[in-house]
Amino acid sequence: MTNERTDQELIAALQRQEVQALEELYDRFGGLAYSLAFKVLGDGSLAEDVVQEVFFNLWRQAQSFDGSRGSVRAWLLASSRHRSIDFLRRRQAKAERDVELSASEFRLNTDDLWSQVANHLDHGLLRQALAQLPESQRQALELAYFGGLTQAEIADATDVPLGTVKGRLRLALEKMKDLLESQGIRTAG
Amino acid sequence: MECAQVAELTAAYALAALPEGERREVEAHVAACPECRARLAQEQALVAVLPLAVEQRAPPARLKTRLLQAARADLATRERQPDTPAHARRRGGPRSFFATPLPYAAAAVLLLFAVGGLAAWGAQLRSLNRQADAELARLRSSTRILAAQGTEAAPGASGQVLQLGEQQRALLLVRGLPTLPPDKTYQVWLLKDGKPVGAGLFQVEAGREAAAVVTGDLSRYDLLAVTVEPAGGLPLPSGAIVLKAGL
Repeated sequence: MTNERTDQELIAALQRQEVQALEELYDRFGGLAYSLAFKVLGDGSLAEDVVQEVFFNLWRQAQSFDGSRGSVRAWLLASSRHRSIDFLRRRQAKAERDVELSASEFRLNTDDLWSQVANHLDHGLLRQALAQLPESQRQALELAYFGGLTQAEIADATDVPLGTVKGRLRLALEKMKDLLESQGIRTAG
Repeated sequence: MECAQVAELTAAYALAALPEGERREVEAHVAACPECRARLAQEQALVAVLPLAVEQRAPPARLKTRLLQAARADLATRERQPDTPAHARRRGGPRSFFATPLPYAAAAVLLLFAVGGLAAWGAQLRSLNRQADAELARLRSSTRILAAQGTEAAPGASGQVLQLGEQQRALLLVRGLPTLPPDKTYQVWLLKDGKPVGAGLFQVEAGREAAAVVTGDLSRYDLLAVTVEPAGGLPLPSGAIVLKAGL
């Protein structure tokens, strides 16, 4: 396959109910979605359920997918994370909170930074950047992103004041930005 | 809300760690404040790349099979629904042939032939598929897949490294690398702390994906690289790196 279809072309094909397009999107992003779900859930079979559900929802709702609001990759990954966190909370018998995808969450264009990091020669780059964060900041970031905790829950779980958690989340992203920029990655929009 | 307050919250917003109330307040503020909006956009872009920091795992083959089966079943159900005209749903699709009006007798004969033929063929395929699925599942459960990317010397190239369980070798699948003249070869290297060890040679046929067996225990190295070298390969690389994969 030398002429790969773009993500937008695949969405258009999905809107024509072409199963092959779903297969191609799965081949492209299924591994990323599964890895993310696995990271959140720590369980392969639950991660499979999440990924199946997310891709099947895309198949069912392709008609209403609006590419101008964000890429299909961003949507698939955001959905995989949300559904995983939803599963996690259900399993922990906690009250479910609203996990509806806020439309604004992937409206903004994140593709430029993504392709820079994804295409960077060294794939360990981002992991290294995270590893270089101060432990307390990395922990707050991971609890929020992979654990799906709110800042108040993080404050609770780590036994620090809410204001400290806010600061840690902000500093974690700031430090991550600096570390990526020191590797020649442009993070400004 | 003032900019200073919002600045404390945009990171948590980007990480979806804000309760509903504060989330709405941030949204209302950034809608009217370009400066905070720009910072939020940057933070959202940073959050969006976090999945790349996760250790990549190959999903089991059955997941794809299940998903595609569900989509096909869904398609079949939708096509049986009488509320949409058949031609509207089927236009351009592979099933458009069946939407063509045919005399009933001819259609019945065609259908019988197709069903009979397909059933036999299908049974054969299913048995083959089951074997292949089982084999794939076995392989995937012990296989690690790593992405390889073309460098500036070959920006269109990409590939995958398949590490087969605990074996002392891996498979490198490459596409988008140009065919070399006969006096040149692609050579695979495994590097630890910048020191390369030769790990195999391969050629690329025009327009084809190439596969190369990589010999060596990948867990002992931190980088896989491909260079262009004289035919037969060299003990140390001399050419530019055209493809890389972090291990």
